[in-house]
Amino acid sequence: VLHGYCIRGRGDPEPDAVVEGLGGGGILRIEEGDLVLWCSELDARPAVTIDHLKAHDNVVRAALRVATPLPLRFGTAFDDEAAARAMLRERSEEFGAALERVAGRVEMGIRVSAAEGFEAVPEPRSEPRPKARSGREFLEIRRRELDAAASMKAAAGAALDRVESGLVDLALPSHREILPREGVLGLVAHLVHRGDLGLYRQRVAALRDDLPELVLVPSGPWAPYSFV
Amino acid sequence: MPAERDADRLFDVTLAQDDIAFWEDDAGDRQSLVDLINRVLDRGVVITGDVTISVAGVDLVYLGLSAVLTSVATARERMDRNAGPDRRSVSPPRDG
Repeated sequence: VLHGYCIRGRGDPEPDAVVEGLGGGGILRIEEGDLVLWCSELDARPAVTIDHLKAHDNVVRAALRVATPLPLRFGTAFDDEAAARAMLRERSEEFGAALERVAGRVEMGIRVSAAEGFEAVPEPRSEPRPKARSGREFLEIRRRELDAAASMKAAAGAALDRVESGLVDLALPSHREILPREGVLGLVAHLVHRGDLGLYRQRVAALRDDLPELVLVPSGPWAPYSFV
Repeated sequence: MPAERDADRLFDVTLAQDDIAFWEDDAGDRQSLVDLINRVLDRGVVITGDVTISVAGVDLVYLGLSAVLTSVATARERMDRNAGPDRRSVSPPRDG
């Protein structure tokens, strides 16, 4: 199968260094119209492992260093080159417009967690559920779990509101996801022009001081996973 | 599309190193995997009908792509806990 990494514009520059794909092989470039698909030929669809996810993102990241690509979700595979070309042809207009939209921009992320003093703290997912001794007790436990989850979700949403409103004057395309688990409240992503990265980082750093009840962990630049 | 310059500068960091911790430190910071997994597994361009991925041999079509957000390790733990003789009977991990 052909495992796809990302879609680029035909005129995008090539990275200086050789890019290694999953399995250690090289990257195939399938050109169709104005688009180029980066992919690797593999014996089978790759399993989801951390190493494979990293390898996938490393290839996308190599493309991102020289021009912003459209990252494909991990697991996108084509039976053969003809299938890949057909996909590129069918969606050429959509992908062309998306490439224009993200050109010159990168995705920056902010992982938002609760600091000491936050109104609610997400429970660790691994915490075992207490054993119920009756059906009624089971339902009560379940009700408490659902109430706690709803309350946590509302608090996480309010926290993300505070983060987004702190950067709203930058007028950046944004994406948010409430993710109240494993100590994380959620993720906020912005599509930032490469020339504005310094300013963005400064603003995030300042926001951390303004929101001491939250732990803000910036990450990026990423390919625009959240904006395609 | 115009070539984008200053590629090297793009990956400079101006905040403390800890603040730009990607998944390189996954041995010590499991949570940073959330950033990677959330993007690579749950976002990006979807080619309808072509996404079939698996964890430990179980196609994620049985689990729901968006369910595997915390970490693959967590998903695998749940699967190991829940799986009976027929692993395809695994219950999907649900959001809280």
